[in-house]
Amino acid sequence: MSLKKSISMAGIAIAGFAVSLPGVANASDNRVPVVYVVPMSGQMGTDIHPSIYDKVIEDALKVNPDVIVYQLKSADIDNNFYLAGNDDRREFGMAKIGEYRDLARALHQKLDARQVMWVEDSVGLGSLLALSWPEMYMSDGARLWGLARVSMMAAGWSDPDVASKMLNAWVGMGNGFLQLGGHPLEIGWAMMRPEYALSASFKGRKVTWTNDTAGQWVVDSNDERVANFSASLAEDMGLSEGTVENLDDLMFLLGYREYDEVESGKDMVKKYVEDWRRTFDRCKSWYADAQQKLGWASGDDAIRYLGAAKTDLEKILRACKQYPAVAARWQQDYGMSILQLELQIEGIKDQIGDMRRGNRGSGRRGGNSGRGGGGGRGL
Amino acid sequence: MQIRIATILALLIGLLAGGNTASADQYELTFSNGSSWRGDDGALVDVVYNEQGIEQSMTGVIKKIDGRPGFQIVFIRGQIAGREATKGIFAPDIVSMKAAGDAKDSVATAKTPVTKPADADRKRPGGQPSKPAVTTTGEDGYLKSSKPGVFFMPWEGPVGIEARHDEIKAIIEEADKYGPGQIIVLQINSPGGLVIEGDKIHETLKDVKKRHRVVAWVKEAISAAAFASLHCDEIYFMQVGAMGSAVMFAGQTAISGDELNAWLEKFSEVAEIGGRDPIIARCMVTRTAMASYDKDSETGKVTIYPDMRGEFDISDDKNVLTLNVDNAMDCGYADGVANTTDELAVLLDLPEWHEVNDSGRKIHERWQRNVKQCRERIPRLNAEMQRNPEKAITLLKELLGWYNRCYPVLVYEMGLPPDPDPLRRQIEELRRQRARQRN
Repeated sequence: MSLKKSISMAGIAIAGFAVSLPGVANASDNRVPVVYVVPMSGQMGTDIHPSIYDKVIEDALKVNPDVIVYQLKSADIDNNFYLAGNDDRREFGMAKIGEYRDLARALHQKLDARQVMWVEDSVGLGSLLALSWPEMYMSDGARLWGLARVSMMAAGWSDPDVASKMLNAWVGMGNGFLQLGGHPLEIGWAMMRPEYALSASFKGRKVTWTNDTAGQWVVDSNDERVANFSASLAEDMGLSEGTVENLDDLMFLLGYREYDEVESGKDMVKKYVEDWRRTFDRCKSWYADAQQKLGWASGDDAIRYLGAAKTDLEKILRACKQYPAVAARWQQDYGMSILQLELQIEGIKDQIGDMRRGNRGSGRRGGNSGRGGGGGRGL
Repeated sequence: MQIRIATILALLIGLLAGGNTASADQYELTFSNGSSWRGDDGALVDVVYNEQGIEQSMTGVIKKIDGRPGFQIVFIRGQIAGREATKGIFAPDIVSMKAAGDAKDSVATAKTPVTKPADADRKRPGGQPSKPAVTTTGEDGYLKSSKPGVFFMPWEGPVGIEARHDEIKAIIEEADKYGPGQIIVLQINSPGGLVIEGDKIHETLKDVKKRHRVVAWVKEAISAAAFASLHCDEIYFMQVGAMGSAVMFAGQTAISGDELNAWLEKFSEVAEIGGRDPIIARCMVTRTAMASYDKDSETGKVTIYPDMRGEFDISDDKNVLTLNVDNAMDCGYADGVANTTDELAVLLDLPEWHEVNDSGRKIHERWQRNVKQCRERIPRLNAEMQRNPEKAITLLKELLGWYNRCYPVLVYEMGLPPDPDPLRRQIEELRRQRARQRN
């Protein structure tokens, strides 16, 4: 679906500035530019999952837009009105940093269009994604917070050298995102590590960041908290190119007085989120049914109920394989991996087989195996 | 009935599809005059061969090659006596074989048979297909690729489990077939791993650098992976790259005292082998080592200090060092930044990205597949053992087989005993028990 949009009257009134701004789209080009919006909304690790963006990339390649806007709205660690029905603390910490690094790289490399990050709000690992693009805009009141999460990944090591190894490994990987976005390491250190200060000095348009309080503008002097950016602070410091209220605003600041919006990416992501969440809800009820049927599986109806329970579990297995988000939540909530589900199903199959062979009550059970600890010295 | 027919059809289709898959196999033939040919099923070739003492020739498509080395039969489909037919030619009877109609590109002598382009050949950046490369055998007996290229291998996952010394050795062996001076590119993406693997990697990389140019292309090179990368002649970072954090530890505790000193020395030596300053490398090994540097604004010359006196900090005495693109480039630890193979080709001074063959990718994929199968199969074996104790002997024998196939996953990841002998004894004991029960 394509929507043709024109900037509002207020926008037109000041649009005259646009043509004189450097880097602004050329008004003499009669073609209306096409913008493709890619939502990144909800929980990292489930709603914002690389699996759906592979499909979005394919679609965007077909559309071949002039501008791609990543609309980021993810605040993992506090309550947000827009996540009211969705702000599930059980989904915290499910994001895998390597997967998002690959996602950011793929979006950069596979899509040729001008790419813009629009942060509507970001608290947590989403902020790494936000900082992976050099051209960033923020909504009024938006936050670019929560990268203390990265250093928390290294918590739990008592030996100072090992703790430092883990911490700096994670922070180094986190800083890879900032480097992709062309941002200096100093910002990453201050945003991920509480003990690092952050200040900036300006020379003309050039901003120099240092991890101390000696700069002209001190962003963070607290050695117990990481540096965070509000939309206004980010704009003042030149991290954000501007503050916008909506797509019209954003497109205007990008120099486009009118544009066509292709909504297929939005639709795909929305459908994906609705689908995986609905599927996960179904899984919960299939599992409750399976448990009930397993409880009833005795006497003459044993095989029938075991078979029915197996069917329910197979549906869950299919769902987990179709949606990595369902698999991740299943593991989180029920402590079962895909493999463990498969083993349980195989156990039931064996049980049914035994019963059919007249070997009822043989007492065999499906077993799950755990992983043992590794040996050897770590490096 | 309909279902049965459909099933049989599906099976037949599967078999036919399987036949096509086999066509992806690459063959290598050596002929009596010393020349050789490398290529795939489906290659269009001109072949000259002896039949009953008479030299004959034909042009056709390789259908398949059967038989053991030295005694192969090459089946070629083409025009024979005016009609399309398949002819089987005994390989020792072949005088020469080369890509059809490519006489200019292939050298005209029998020493220069040609092949199809390697699977790994990619298009040029502009989307124009690049000219296919041909592989020939030189007078020195080494294979030659007509286009300069690289031996590329992804090296990913935990060191010692997924990223191993064995695969590095295998890609080196492939490069060796082409003689000294090859470029081996290891695409590194690893969070680190086992020290014992690091030792083997050290010896192998130290040796291979004497005859080939070894390149690390770093996405993530943490700990043991940083150690491996530092050996390389050149280190290129992806923009997201990170390298460092090589503290050695056992259990929860970092090594200290003589052990740490020895590790610091080794790390320094490795950095120097790679042509890099050891001061920075030491900061990856222990928290208390420091590094800073000055940079001459005109010449770009970097002077590194083992303390914080330089203008630019690398690592203070509170942190283990992990380098990213900015600081790795500025202090000269990285030789360049490449996000794509095309960008890497430019840095390597190649006219375009060309992989001499896809053996590195295959070596990598083969081991990764093995690891995946092992991770899936072992828990199943365990479960089956509990469900079907009567099958214990068969299942234990399979487990024993996995020791040969995927030892690192079993021992280092799953915590099975390093020595499988108790397993053998258990199988013997079970056999004896069964025998006693039968008697």
